[in-house]
Amino acid sequence: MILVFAFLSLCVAMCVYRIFRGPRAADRMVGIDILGIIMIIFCVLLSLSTGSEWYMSIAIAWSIIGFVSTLTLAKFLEGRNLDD
Amino acid sequence: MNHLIVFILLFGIWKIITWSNDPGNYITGILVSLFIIIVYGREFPYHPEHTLQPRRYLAFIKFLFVFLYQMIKANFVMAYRILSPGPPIKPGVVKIPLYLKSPLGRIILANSITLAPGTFTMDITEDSLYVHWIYVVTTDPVKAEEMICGKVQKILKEVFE
Amino acid sequence: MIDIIFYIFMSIGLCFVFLGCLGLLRMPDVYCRLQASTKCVTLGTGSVLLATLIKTGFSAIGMKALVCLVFLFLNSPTAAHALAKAADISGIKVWEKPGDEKIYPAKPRPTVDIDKE
Repeated sequence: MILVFAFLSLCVAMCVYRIFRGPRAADRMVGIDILGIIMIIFCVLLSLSTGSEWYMSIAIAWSIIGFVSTLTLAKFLEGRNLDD
Repeated sequence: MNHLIVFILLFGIWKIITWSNDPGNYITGILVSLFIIIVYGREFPYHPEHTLQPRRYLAFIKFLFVFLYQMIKANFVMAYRILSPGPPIKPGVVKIPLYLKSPLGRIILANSITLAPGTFTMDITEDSLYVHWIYVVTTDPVKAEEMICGKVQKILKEVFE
Repeated sequence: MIDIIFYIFMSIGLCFVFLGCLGLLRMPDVYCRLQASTKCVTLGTGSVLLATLIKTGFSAIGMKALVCLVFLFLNSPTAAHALAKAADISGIKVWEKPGDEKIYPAKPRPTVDIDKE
């Protein structure tokens, strides 16, 4: 289990590298989007190893919130208002 | 009829998410589903008579198999592109015709193109679809539609229209 | 038997997630990065959730994994589509291999440069 967590931390490190180094704002947003999906895997693994179902609720809520936050960031990048 | 289908859908999702047999759980689920239908019920543009025709479900199952095959193939192609040195890519944007009319069908078509091998939906207009292709073979719209969509658009037209 | 299937799906999923993150590093432009990472990470996470569903069966954890799988397959391509459209409107060009001919005539719309306005 520790091995799996170390493996996922490597993936997170690559995403964070892209977030810091991305030449434009769009590259950073791609990194943030992928980071949100990797957090779902962390929640699933925690739920499997502890046997508690609340981590799965966190995973569902995280997937919805990540989707909405990505849409908001995309609208910000388009330079539009948040109203329409 | 229209509201009944949406209610069954919402209540099913509620039961699966909470997954318990408490009577209070049932009452809360019914109240929340009714509230959502009262507030948002008019915003579902939906054909209730389509849900009773079994051939649409058969076509949808066929679509699911085609989609699954394409997605697994897409991942192996993309793994090859990522791992080989000096990525073998030639990206570009092509335009393909779109003749689906129903909004739900358009969403599913765009999502399945995004998960298909090497292609990616960028923009959608009234009668055409702009697709980012990672290895451009042809720029002719009809040939590109043949190569990117394949049978998917026909099957979805069967399902939703 | 169930354990073997669980481990197979789990390792396939983790390998594809790793490949997606590697693609995030290696590809040269925003659209290619979106392609590589969205496809591989979506299938990888879907595979991990499917492994959870197989392992736990009809329990609270398994059913929540199923709901999460459906949400993920609907949301992830839509979010990627929104990002690509935003990047296109904000004026990022499609990357071309140096030395290639320009064969990309289709242009979604006259791109607006935010810096000029």
